[in-house]
Amino acid sequence: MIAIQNVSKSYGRGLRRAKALDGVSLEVAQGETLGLIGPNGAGKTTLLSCLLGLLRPDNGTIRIDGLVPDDLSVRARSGYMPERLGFDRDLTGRAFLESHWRLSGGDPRRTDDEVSGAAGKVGLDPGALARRLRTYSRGMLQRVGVAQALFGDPELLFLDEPASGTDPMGVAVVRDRILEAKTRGATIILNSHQLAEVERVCDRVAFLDRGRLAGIETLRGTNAAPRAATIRTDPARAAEAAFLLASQGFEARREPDGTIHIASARDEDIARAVGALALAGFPVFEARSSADLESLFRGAR
Amino acid sequence: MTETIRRYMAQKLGSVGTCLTLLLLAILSAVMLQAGRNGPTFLTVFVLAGGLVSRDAASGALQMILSRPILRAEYLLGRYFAVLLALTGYLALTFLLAMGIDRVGNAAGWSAGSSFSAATAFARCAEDLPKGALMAAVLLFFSTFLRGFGDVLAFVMGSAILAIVPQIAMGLKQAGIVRAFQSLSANLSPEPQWNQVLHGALMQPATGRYALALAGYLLLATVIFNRREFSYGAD
Repeated sequence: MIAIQNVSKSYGRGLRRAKALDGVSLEVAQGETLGLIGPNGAGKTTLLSCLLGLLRPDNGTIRIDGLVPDDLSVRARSGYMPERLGFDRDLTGRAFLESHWRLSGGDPRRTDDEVSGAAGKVGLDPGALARRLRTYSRGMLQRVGVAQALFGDPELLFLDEPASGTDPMGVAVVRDRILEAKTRGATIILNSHQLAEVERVCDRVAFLDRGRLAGIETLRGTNAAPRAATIRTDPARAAEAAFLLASQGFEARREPDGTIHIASARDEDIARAVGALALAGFPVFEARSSADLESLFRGAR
Repeated sequence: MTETIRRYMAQKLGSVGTCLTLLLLAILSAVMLQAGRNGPTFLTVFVLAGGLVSRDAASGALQMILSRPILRAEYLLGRYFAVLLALTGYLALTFLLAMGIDRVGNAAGWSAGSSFSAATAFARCAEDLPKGALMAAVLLFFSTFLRGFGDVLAFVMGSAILAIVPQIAMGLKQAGIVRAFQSLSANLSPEPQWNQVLHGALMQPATGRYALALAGYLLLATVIFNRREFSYGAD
Protein backbone atom coordinates (compact mmCIF):
# COMPACT_ATOMS: atom_id res chain seq x y z
CA MET A 1 0.00 0.00 0.00
CA ILE A 2 1.14 3.54 -0.72
CA ALA A 3 0.53 5.93 2.17
CA ILE A 4 1.01 9.63 1.58
CA GLN A 5 0.53 11.66 4.73
CA ASN A 6 0.36 15.44 4.84
CA VAL A 7 3.06 15.87 2.20
CA SER A 8 4.20 19.40 1.36
CA LYS A 9 6.90 20.43 -1.05
CA SER A 10 8.09 23.87 -2.10
CA TYR A 11 10.51 25.05 -4.75
CA GLY A 12 12.73 28.13 -4.65
CA ARG A 13 13.73 30.35 -1.76
CA GLY A 14 12.62 33.59 -0.14
CA LEU A 15 10.14 35.58 -2.20
CA ARG A 16 10.40 33.13 -5.09
CA ARG A 17 9.35 30.19 -2.92
CA ALA A 18 6.37 28.42 -4.44
CA LYS A 19 4.40 25.58 -2.93
CA ALA A 20 4.08 22.65 -5.33
CA LEU A 21 2.38 20.37 -2.81
CA ASP A 22 0.43 21.52 0.20
CA GLY A 23 -0.57 18.94 2.80
CA VAL A 24 -1.51 16.12 0.43
CA SER A 25 -2.75 12.95 2.14
CA LEU A 26 -3.75 9.91 0.15
CA GLU A 27 -3.72 6.14 0.35
CA VAL A 28 -3.49 3.79 -2.60
CA ALA A 29 -4.41 0.17 -1.95
CA GLN A 30 -2.45 -2.73 -3.36
CA GLY A 31 -3.68 -3.54 -6.87
CA GLU A 32 -5.47 -0.23 -7.22
CA THR A 33 -5.10 2.10 -10.20
CA LEU A 34 -5.18 5.73 -9.19
CA GLY A 35 -5.43 8.55 -11.70
CA LEU A 36 -3.87 11.91 -10.89
CA ILE A 37 -5.52 14.76 -12.71
CA GLY A 38 -5.39 18.49 -12.40
CA PRO A 39 -4.35 21.58 -14.32
CA ASN A 40 -0.75 22.28 -15.32
CA GLY A 41 1.30 23.23 -12.28
CA ALA A 42 -1.07 21.42 -9.91
CA GLY A 43 1.76 19.35 -8.43
CA LYS A 44 1.12 16.00 -10.10
CA THR A 45 4.69 15.43 -11.34
CA THR A 46 6.09 16.71 -8.04
CA LEU A 47 3.99 14.11 -6.23
CA LEU A 48 5.25 11.39 -8.59
CA SER A 49 8.85 12.57 -8.06
CA CYS A 50 8.33 12.34 -4.29
CA LEU A 51 6.89 8.84 -4.69
CA LEU A 52 10.03 7.85 -6.61
CA GLY A 53 12.36 9.35 -4.02
CA LEU A 54 13.78 11.85 -6.52
CA LEU A 55 12.40 14.68 -4.37
CA ARG A 56 12.09 14.70 -0.59
CA PRO A 57 8.98 16.22 0.95
CA ASP A 58 9.53 19.31 3.14
CA ASN A 59 6.87 17.96 5.49
CA GLY A 60 4.91 14.77 5.79
CA THR A 61 5.79 11.19 5.00
CA ILE A 62 5.50 8.74 2.14
CA ARG A 63 5.63 5.02 2.78
CA ILE A 64 5.36 2.25 0.22
CA ASP A 65 4.54 -1.01 1.97
CA GLY A 66 5.99 0.60 5.08
CA LEU A 67 9.27 1.56 3.39
CA VAL A 68 10.65 4.90 2.24
CA PRO A 69 10.31 5.47 -1.54
CA ASP A 70 14.04 5.32 -2.28
CA ASP A 71 14.50 1.99 -0.56
CA LEU A 72 16.19 -0.30 -3.09
CA SER A 73 13.67 -3.09 -2.52
CA VAL A 74 10.86 -0.67 -3.44
CA ARG A 75 12.70 0.44 -6.56
CA ALA A 76 13.33 -3.18 -7.54
CA ARG A 77 9.55 -3.64 -7.67
CA SER A 78 8.80 -0.36 -9.46
CA GLY A 79 8.48 0.79 -13.02
CA TYR A 80 8.56 4.45 -13.95
CA MET A 81 7.83 6.31 -17.10
CA PRO A 82 8.62 10.03 -17.06
CA GLU A 83 6.67 12.69 -18.88
CA ARG A 84 9.65 14.24 -20.65
CA LEU A 85 11.61 11.76 -22.71
CA GLY A 86 14.78 13.63 -23.56
CA PHE A 87 17.13 10.86 -22.48
CA ASP A 88 20.17 9.17 -23.98
CA ARG A 89 19.44 10.33 -27.49
CA ASP A 90 22.69 8.94 -28.90
CA LEU A 91 21.71 5.40 -27.90
CA THR A 92 19.73 3.10 -30.15
CA GLY A 93 16.32 1.99 -28.93
CA ARG A 94 17.72 -1.50 -28.35
CA ALA A 95 20.77 -0.27 -26.40
CA PHE A 96 18.51 1.91 -24.26
CA LEU A 97 16.14 -0.95 -23.46
CA GLU A 98 19.02 -3.37 -22.83
CA SER A 99 20.54 -0.91 -20.40
CA HIS A 100 17.25 -0.52 -18.51
CA TRP A 101 16.69 -4.26 -18.42
CA ARG A 102 20.06 -4.71 -16.75
CA LEU A 103 19.55 -1.69 -14.46
CA SER A 104 16.23 -3.17 -13.34
CA GLY A 105 18.15 -6.19 -12.10
CA GLY A 106 17.10 -8.43 -14.97
CA ASP A 107 19.04 -11.56 -15.86
CA PRO A 108 21.66 -10.49 -18.45
CA ARG A 109 21.27 -13.84 -20.27
CA ARG A 110 17.64 -13.00 -21.03
CA THR A 111 18.36 -9.46 -22.26
CA ASP A 112 17.74 -10.11 -25.97
CA ASP A 113 14.47 -11.99 -25.41
CA GLU A 114 13.14 -9.49 -22.88
CA VAL A 115 14.02 -6.46 -25.01
CA SER A 116 12.46 -7.93 -28.13
CA GLY A 117 9.39 -9.03 -26.18
CA ALA A 118 8.92 -5.63 -24.50
CA ALA A 119 9.39 -3.80 -27.80
CA GLY A 120 6.90 -6.09 -29.52
CA LYS A 121 4.32 -5.45 -26.80
CA VAL A 122 4.39 -1.71 -27.49
CA GLY A 123 4.49 -2.12 -31.26
CA LEU A 124 8.16 -1.29 -31.91
CA ASP A 125 9.67 -3.45 -34.66
CA PRO A 126 13.35 -4.58 -34.77
CA GLY A 127 14.08 -1.96 -37.44
CA ALA A 128 12.96 0.80 -35.10
CA LEU A 129 15.05 -0.65 -32.26
CA ALA A 130 18.19 -0.39 -34.40
CA ARG A 131 17.70 3.36 -34.84
CA ARG A 132 19.00 6.01 -32.47
CA LEU A 133 16.51 7.56 -30.07
CA ARG A 134 17.22 10.99 -31.56
CA THR A 135 15.45 9.85 -34.74
CA TYR A 136 12.33 8.69 -32.88
CA SER A 137 9.05 10.54 -33.06
CA ARG A 138 7.36 11.60 -29.81
CA GLY A 139 5.00 8.65 -30.09
CA MET A 140 7.84 6.17 -30.53
CA LEU A 141 9.68 7.62 -27.54
CA GLN A 142 6.53 7.19 -25.46
CA ARG A 143 6.32 3.56 -26.54
CA VAL A 144 9.94 2.87 -25.68
CA GLY A 145 9.35 4.63 -22.36
CA VAL A 146 6.39 2.38 -21.59
CA ALA A 147 8.40 -0.70 -22.63
CA GLN A 148 11.20 0.05 -20.15
CA ALA A 149 8.73 0.84 -17.37
CA LEU A 150 7.14 -2.61 -17.72
CA PHE A 151 10.39 -4.59 -17.49
CA GLY A 152 10.13 -7.41 -14.98
CA ASP A 153 6.35 -6.97 -14.54
CA PRO A 154 6.70 -4.42 -11.72
CA GLU A 155 4.28 -4.46 -8.78
CA LEU A 156 4.30 -0.65 -8.70
CA LEU A 157 3.90 1.45 -11.80
CA PHE A 158 4.33 5.21 -11.91
CA LEU A 159 3.28 6.58 -15.26
CA ASP A 160 3.52 10.26 -16.12
CA GLU A 161 1.54 11.12 -19.25
CA PRO A 162 2.29 7.75 -20.89
CA ALA A 163 0.18 8.32 -23.99
CA SER A 164 1.01 11.97 -24.54
CA GLY A 165 1.87 12.68 -28.17
CA THR A 166 0.98 9.22 -29.42
CA ASP A 167 -1.41 8.38 -32.26
CA PRO A 168 -4.71 6.59 -31.51
CA MET A 169 -3.03 3.21 -32.02
CA GLY A 170 -0.32 4.23 -29.54
CA VAL A 171 -2.96 5.33 -27.04
CA ALA A 172 -4.62 1.92 -27.37
CA VAL A 173 -1.29 0.10 -26.96
CA VAL A 174 -0.48 2.05 -23.80
CA ARG A 175 -3.98 1.45 -22.44
CA ASP A 176 -3.71 -2.30 -23.12
CA ARG A 177 -0.39 -2.49 -21.33
CA ILE A 178 -1.79 -0.64 -18.31
CA LEU A 179 -4.84 -2.90 -18.21
CA GLU A 180 -2.55 -5.93 -18.48
CA ALA A 181 -0.51 -4.71 -15.50
CA LYS A 182 -3.73 -4.00 -13.61
CA THR A 183 -5.01 -7.51 -14.30
CA ARG A 184 -1.90 -9.08 -12.80
CA GLY A 185 -2.43 -6.98 -9.66
CA ALA A 186 0.01 -4.10 -10.08
CA THR A 187 -0.56 -0.90 -8.13
CA ILE A 188 -0.58 1.92 -10.67
CA ILE A 189 -0.41 5.67 -10.35
CA LEU A 190 -1.25 7.34 -13.62
CA ASN A 191 -0.75 11.03 -14.19
CA SER A 192 -2.57 12.09 -17.33
CA HIS A 193 -4.49 14.89 -18.97
CA GLN A 194 -6.32 12.38 -21.16
CA LEU A 195 -9.45 12.15 -19.04
CA ALA A 196 -11.14 9.54 -21.19
CA GLU A 197 -8.13 7.22 -20.80
CA VAL A 198 -7.98 7.87 -17.07
CA GLU A 199 -11.63 6.92 -16.79
CA ARG A 200 -11.11 3.73 -18.77
CA VAL A 201 -8.30 2.35 -16.61
CA CYS A 202 -8.48 3.95 -13.16
CA ASP A 203 -10.36 2.76 -10.08
CA ARG A 204 -10.13 6.16 -8.42
CA VAL A 205 -9.15 9.63 -9.49
CA ALA A 206 -7.43 12.24 -7.34
CA PHE A 207 -7.83 15.88 -8.32
CA LEU A 208 -4.88 18.07 -7.54
CA ASP A 209 -5.19 21.82 -7.75
CA ARG A 210 -2.47 24.30 -6.77
CA GLY A 211 -0.72 21.64 -4.73
CA ARG A 212 -3.79 20.64 -2.76
CA LEU A 213 -5.87 17.51 -2.99
CA ALA A 214 -9.14 19.00 -4.19
CA GLY A 215 -11.10 15.76 -4.29
CA ILE A 216 -11.12 12.02 -4.86
CA GLU A 217 -13.65 10.21 -7.00
CA THR A 218 -14.25 6.48 -7.04
CA LEU A 219 -14.94 5.26 -10.56
CA ARG A 220 -15.37 1.56 -9.97
CA GLY A 221 -16.80 -0.76 -7.35
CA THR A 222 -19.67 -0.44 -4.92
CA ASN A 223 -18.64 3.02 -3.79
CA ALA A 224 -18.44 4.38 -7.32
CA ALA A 225 -19.70 7.92 -7.76
CA PRO A 226 -22.82 8.43 -9.93
CA ARG A 227 -21.97 8.85 -13.59
CA ALA A 228 -23.51 10.86 -16.38
CA ALA A 229 -25.45 8.94 -19.03
CA THR A 230 -26.19 9.74 -22.65
CA ILE A 231 -29.07 8.02 -24.42
CA ARG A 232 -29.57 8.32 -28.17
CA THR A 233 -33.11 7.88 -29.38
CA ASP A 234 -35.19 9.22 -32.28
CA PRO A 235 -34.09 12.90 -32.38
CA ALA A 236 -37.62 13.96 -33.43
CA ARG A 237 -39.01 12.45 -30.20
CA ALA A 238 -36.09 13.25 -27.91
CA ALA A 239 -37.88 16.07 -26.08
CA GLU A 240 -40.83 13.80 -25.41
CA ALA A 241 -38.51 11.03 -24.18
CA ALA A 242 -36.66 13.47 -21.90
CA PHE A 243 -40.00 14.60 -20.44
CA LEU A 244 -40.97 10.98 -19.78
CA LEU A 245 -37.69 10.30 -17.95
CA ALA A 246 -37.96 13.54 -15.97
CA SER A 247 -41.48 12.53 -14.89
CA GLN A 248 -39.98 9.28 -13.55
CA GLY A 249 -37.50 11.16 -11.37
CA PHE A 250 -34.41 11.29 -13.63
CA GLU A 251 -32.40 14.51 -14.06
CA ALA A 252 -32.89 14.26 -17.81
CA ARG A 253 -32.58 16.94 -20.46
CA ARG A 254 -32.53 17.01 -24.23
CA GLU A 255 -29.18 18.03 -25.69
CA PRO A 256 -28.89 20.18 -28.86
CA ASP A 257 -27.60 17.14 -30.81
CA GLY A 258 -30.85 15.28 -30.10
CA THR A 259 -29.49 12.99 -27.38
CA ILE A 260 -30.76 12.80 -23.82
CA HIS A 261 -28.38 13.60 -21.00
CA ILE A 262 -29.01 12.13 -17.55
CA ALA A 263 -26.93 13.63 -14.81
CA SER A 264 -25.82 11.60 -11.84
CA ALA A 265 -26.95 8.11 -12.73
CA ARG A 266 -25.80 4.76 -11.39
CA ASP A 267 -25.64 1.72 -13.64
CA GLU A 268 -29.02 0.44 -12.40
CA ASP A 269 -30.60 3.88 -13.05
CA ILE A 270 -29.41 3.77 -16.67
CA ALA A 271 -30.89 0.30 -17.10
CA ARG A 272 -34.18 1.55 -15.60
CA ALA A 273 -34.24 4.57 -17.93
CA VAL A 274 -33.61 2.43 -21.02
CA GLY A 275 -36.38 0.04 -19.88
CA ALA A 276 -38.83 2.90 -19.37
CA LEU A 277 -38.13 4.30 -22.83
CA ALA A 278 -38.49 0.89 -24.47
CA LEU A 279 -41.78 0.27 -22.65
CA ALA A 280 -43.12 3.61 -23.89
CA GLY A 281 -42.15 2.70 -27.46
CA PHE A 282 -39.09 4.93 -27.86
CA PRO A 283 -36.33 3.37 -29.94
CA VAL A 284 -33.01 3.33 -28.01
CA PHE A 285 -30.08 3.37 -30.44
CA GLU A 286 -27.32 3.85 -27.91
CA ALA A 287 -26.86 4.22 -24.15
CA ARG A 288 -23.51 5.01 -22.55
CA SER A 289 -22.30 6.33 -19.26
CA SER A 290 -19.16 8.17 -18.29
CA ALA A 291 -17.72 9.57 -15.11
CA ASP A 292 -17.70 12.99 -16.76
CA LEU A 293 -14.30 13.79 -15.34
CA GLU A 294 -14.25 17.08 -17.15
CA SER A 295 -17.18 18.31 -15.04
CA LEU A 296 -15.54 16.94 -11.92
CA PHE A 297 -12.32 18.66 -13.01
CA ARG A 298 -14.16 21.97 -13.42
CA GLY A 299 -15.94 21.41 -10.12
CA ALA A 300 -12.65 20.78 -8.38
CA ARG A 301 -11.35 24.12 -9.59
CA MET B 1 28.25 -0.27 -11.51
CA THR B 2 29.17 -2.34 -14.57
CA GLU B 3 26.02 -1.13 -16.29
CA THR B 4 26.84 2.50 -15.49
CA ILE B 5 30.29 2.04 -17.05
CA ARG B 6 28.80 0.29 -20.08
CA ARG B 7 26.23 3.07 -20.49
CA TYR B 8 28.92 5.78 -20.31
CA MET B 9 30.92 4.01 -23.01
CA ALA B 10 27.83 3.66 -25.19
CA GLN B 11 27.09 7.39 -24.73
CA LYS B 12 30.63 8.46 -25.68
CA LEU B 13 31.16 5.98 -28.50
CA GLY B 14 27.63 6.67 -29.76
CA SER B 15 28.50 10.30 -30.40
CA VAL B 16 30.37 10.80 -33.67
CA GLY B 17 31.44 14.30 -32.58
CA THR B 18 33.02 13.02 -29.36
CA CYS B 19 34.80 10.18 -31.16
CA LEU B 20 36.22 12.55 -33.79
CA THR B 21 37.34 15.05 -31.13
CA LEU B 22 39.09 12.30 -29.17
CA LEU B 23 40.77 10.97 -32.31
CA LEU B 24 42.05 14.44 -33.26
CA LEU B 25 43.32 14.97 -29.71
CA ALA B 26 45.04 11.57 -29.80
CA ILE B 27 46.76 12.42 -33.10
CA LEU B 28 47.87 15.81 -31.73
CA SER B 29 49.15 14.17 -28.55
CA ALA B 30 51.00 11.51 -30.55
CA VAL B 31 52.73 14.20 -32.62
CA MET B 32 53.66 16.05 -29.42
CA LEU B 33 55.02 12.83 -27.89
CA GLN B 34 57.13 12.47 -31.02
CA ALA B 35 58.54 15.89 -30.27
CA GLY B 36 59.29 14.81 -26.70
CA ARG B 37 56.47 16.76 -25.09
CA ASN B 38 53.31 15.82 -23.19
CA GLY B 39 50.02 16.01 -25.09
CA PRO B 40 47.06 18.19 -24.05
CA THR B 41 45.52 15.43 -21.91
CA PHE B 42 43.63 18.01 -19.84
CA LEU B 43 41.51 18.74 -22.93
CA THR B 44 40.71 15.05 -23.23
CA VAL B 45 39.65 14.95 -19.58
CA PHE B 46 37.33 17.90 -20.25
CA VAL B 47 35.78 15.97 -23.16
CA LEU B 48 35.48 12.75 -21.14
CA ALA B 49 34.45 14.12 -17.76
CA GLY B 50 32.78 17.49 -18.48
CA GLY B 51 29.12 17.54 -17.38
CA LEU B 52 29.45 13.97 -16.12
CA VAL B 53 26.38 14.13 -13.88
CA SER B 54 24.79 17.44 -14.79
CA ARG B 55 24.12 16.49 -18.41
CA ASP B 56 22.40 13.26 -17.37
CA ALA B 57 20.31 15.22 -14.88
CA ALA B 58 19.34 17.82 -17.50
CA SER B 59 18.34 15.20 -20.07
CA GLY B 60 16.22 13.24 -17.60
CA ALA B 61 18.32 10.10 -18.01
CA LEU B 62 19.54 10.37 -14.42
CA GLN B 63 16.03 10.43 -12.98
CA MET B 64 15.19 7.26 -14.89
CA ILE B 65 18.37 5.55 -13.69
CA LEU B 66 17.78 6.59 -10.07
CA SER B 67 14.30 5.05 -10.22
CA ARG B 68 16.08 1.71 -10.70
CA PRO B 69 17.44 -0.40 -7.83
CA ILE B 70 20.95 1.04 -7.83
CA LEU B 71 22.66 3.16 -5.18
CA ARG B 72 23.45 6.75 -6.04
CA ALA B 73 27.09 6.13 -5.07
CA GLU B 74 27.14 3.21 -7.48
CA TYR B 75 26.03 5.45 -10.33
CA LEU B 76 28.49 8.18 -9.42
CA LEU B 77 31.53 5.95 -9.00
CA GLY B 78 30.52 4.00 -12.11
CA ARG B 79 30.68 7.24 -14.11
CA TYR B 80 34.06 8.07 -12.59
CA PHE B 81 35.61 4.67 -13.26
CA ALA B 82 34.19 4.80 -16.79
CA VAL B 83 36.10 8.06 -17.34
CA LEU B 84 39.29 6.42 -16.05
CA LEU B 85 38.74 3.47 -18.37
CA ALA B 86 38.13 5.76 -21.35
CA LEU B 87 41.18 7.86 -20.43
CA THR B 88 43.34 4.73 -20.22
CA GLY B 89 42.11 3.69 -23.67
CA TYR B 90 42.80 7.16 -25.02
CA LEU B 91 46.35 7.21 -23.60
CA ALA B 92 47.02 3.74 -25.00
CA LEU B 93 45.80 4.92 -28.40
CA THR B 94 48.02 8.00 -28.16
CA PHE B 95 51.05 5.86 -27.35
CA LEU B 96 50.30 3.44 -30.20
CA LEU B 97 49.80 6.33 -32.62
CA ALA B 98 53.13 7.85 -31.53
CA MET B 99 54.81 4.48 -32.10
CA GLY B 100 53.11 4.15 -35.48
CA ILE B 101 54.20 7.61 -36.56
CA ASP B 102 57.77 6.76 -35.49
CA ARG B 103 57.75 3.52 -37.48
CA VAL B 104 56.33 5.17 -40.59
CA GLY B 105 58.78 8.06 -40.19
CA ASN B 106 61.69 5.65 -39.91
CA ALA B 107 60.55 3.66 -42.92
CA ALA B 108 60.08 6.80 -44.99
CA GLY B 109 63.32 8.32 -43.76
CA TRP B 110 61.63 11.40 -42.20
CA SER B 111 62.80 10.70 -38.67
CA ALA B 112 66.53 11.00 -39.18
CA GLY B 113 68.01 12.30 -35.96
CA SER B 114 64.73 11.95 -34.07
CA SER B 115 65.19 11.47 -30.32
CA PHE B 116 61.87 9.60 -29.89
CA SER B 117 61.99 6.88 -27.30
CA ALA B 118 59.17 4.41 -26.80
CA ALA B 119 59.98 4.07 -23.10
CA THR B 120 59.86 7.84 -22.56
CA ALA B 121 56.61 8.14 -24.52
CA PHE B 122 55.09 5.32 -22.46
CA ALA B 123 56.19 7.01 -19.23
CA ARG B 124 54.68 10.33 -20.33
CA CYS B 125 51.36 8.62 -21.15
CA ALA B 126 51.43 6.75 -17.83
CA GLU B 127 52.07 10.02 -15.94
CA ASP B 128 49.01 11.56 -17.53
CA LEU B 129 46.69 8.90 -16.10
CA PRO B 130 46.89 9.88 -12.39
CA LYS B 131 46.88 13.56 -13.35
CA GLY B 132 43.71 12.98 -15.37
CA ALA B 133 42.22 10.91 -12.55
CA LEU B 134 42.50 13.81 -10.10
CA MET B 135 41.16 16.28 -12.65
CA ALA B 136 38.20 13.98 -13.39
CA ALA B 137 37.48 13.71 -9.64
CA VAL B 138 37.40 17.51 -9.36
CA LEU B 139 35.07 17.77 -12.37
CA LEU B 140 32.84 15.03 -10.93
CA PHE B 141 32.65 16.91 -7.62
CA PHE B 142 31.59 20.16 -9.35
CA SER B 143 29.22 18.29 -11.63
CA THR B 144 27.17 17.02 -8.70
CA PHE B 145 25.87 20.51 -7.95
CA LEU B 146 26.58 22.75 -10.96
CA ARG B 147 24.50 22.77 -14.11
CA GLY B 148 25.63 21.98 -17.67
CA PHE B 149 29.34 22.49 -18.17
CA GLY B 150 29.57 24.59 -15.00
CA ASP B 151 32.02 21.98 -13.70
CA VAL B 152 34.52 22.78 -16.48
CA LEU B 153 34.09 26.50 -15.89
CA ALA B 154 34.55 26.08 -12.12
CA PHE B 155 37.66 23.96 -12.68
CA VAL B 156 39.22 26.51 -15.07
CA MET B 157 38.37 29.42 -12.77
CA GLY B 158 39.62 27.59 -9.67
CA SER B 159 42.89 26.69 -11.39
CA ALA B 160 43.30 30.26 -12.63
CA ILE B 161 42.72 31.68 -9.14
CA LEU B 162 45.21 29.25 -7.58
CA ALA B 163 47.79 30.23 -10.22
CA ILE B 164 47.22 33.98 -10.52
CA VAL B 165 46.56 35.14 -6.95
CA PRO B 166 50.00 34.08 -5.61
CA GLN B 167 51.65 35.91 -8.54
CA ILE B 168 49.75 39.09 -7.74
CA ALA B 169 50.45 38.68 -4.02
CA MET B 170 54.13 38.20 -4.80
CA GLY B 171 54.11 41.43 -6.78
CA LEU B 172 52.47 43.17 -3.82
CA LYS B 173 54.98 41.51 -1.46
CA GLN B 174 52.19 39.79 0.52
CA ALA B 175 54.16 36.76 1.71
CA GLY B 176 51.29 35.46 3.84
CA ILE B 177 48.89 35.28 0.92
CA VAL B 178 51.55 33.66 -1.26
CA ARG B 179 52.17 30.97 1.38
CA ALA B 180 48.44 30.42 1.93
CA PHE B 181 47.77 29.94 -1.78
CA GLN B 182 50.82 27.75 -2.29
CA SER B 183 49.60 25.55 0.56
CA LEU B 184 46.09 25.56 -0.85
CA SER B 185 47.38 24.59 -4.27
CA ALA B 186 49.59 21.84 -2.85
CA ASN B 187 46.59 20.32 -1.06
CA LEU B 188 43.80 20.92 -3.56
CA SER B 189 45.82 20.17 -6.65
CA PRO B 190 48.87 18.14 -5.56
CA GLU B 191 51.40 17.25 -8.23
CA PRO B 192 53.62 14.35 -7.21
CA GLN B 193 56.71 13.63 -9.31
CA TRP B 194 55.02 10.89 -11.28
CA ASN B 195 58.17 9.90 -13.13
CA GLN B 196 59.77 9.13 -9.74
CA VAL B 197 56.62 7.37 -8.51
CA LEU B 198 56.70 5.20 -11.63
CA HIS B 199 60.24 4.25 -10.71
CA GLY B 200 59.17 3.14 -7.24
CA ALA B 201 59.51 6.33 -5.18
CA LEU B 202 55.93 6.15 -3.93
CA MET B 203 56.49 7.60 -0.49
CA GLN B 204 56.52 11.34 -1.14
CA PRO B 205 54.53 13.96 0.80
CA ALA B 206 52.88 14.99 -2.47
CA THR B 207 51.73 11.40 -3.13
CA GLY B 208 49.98 11.35 0.22
CA ARG B 209 48.36 14.70 -0.48
CA TYR B 210 47.30 13.39 -3.88
CA ALA B 211 45.63 10.32 -2.38
CA LEU B 212 43.88 12.46 0.23
CA ALA B 213 42.69 14.99 -2.35
CA LEU B 214 41.40 12.28 -4.69
CA ALA B 215 39.55 10.49 -1.89
CA GLY B 216 38.26 13.83 -0.59
CA TYR B 217 36.81 14.92 -3.93
CA LEU B 218 35.13 11.56 -4.49
CA LEU B 219 33.76 11.46 -0.94
CA LEU B 220 32.42 15.01 -1.14
CA ALA B 221 30.87 14.30 -4.54
CA THR B 222 29.13 11.22 -3.12
CA VAL B 223 27.83 13.08 -0.06
CA ILE B 224 26.48 15.98 -2.13
CA PHE B 225 24.98 13.66 -4.74
CA ASN B 226 23.25 11.57 -2.08
CA ARG B 227 21.63 14.67 -0.60
CA ARG B 228 20.57 16.22 -3.90
CA GLU B 229 17.04 16.26 -5.23
CA PHE B 230 16.24 15.88 -8.89
CA SER B 231 13.03 17.43 -10.04
CA TYR B 232 11.35 16.16 -13.13
CA GLY B 233 9.14 18.38 -15.23
CA ALA B 234 7.31 21.44 -13.94
CA ASP B 235 3.99 20.01 -12.87
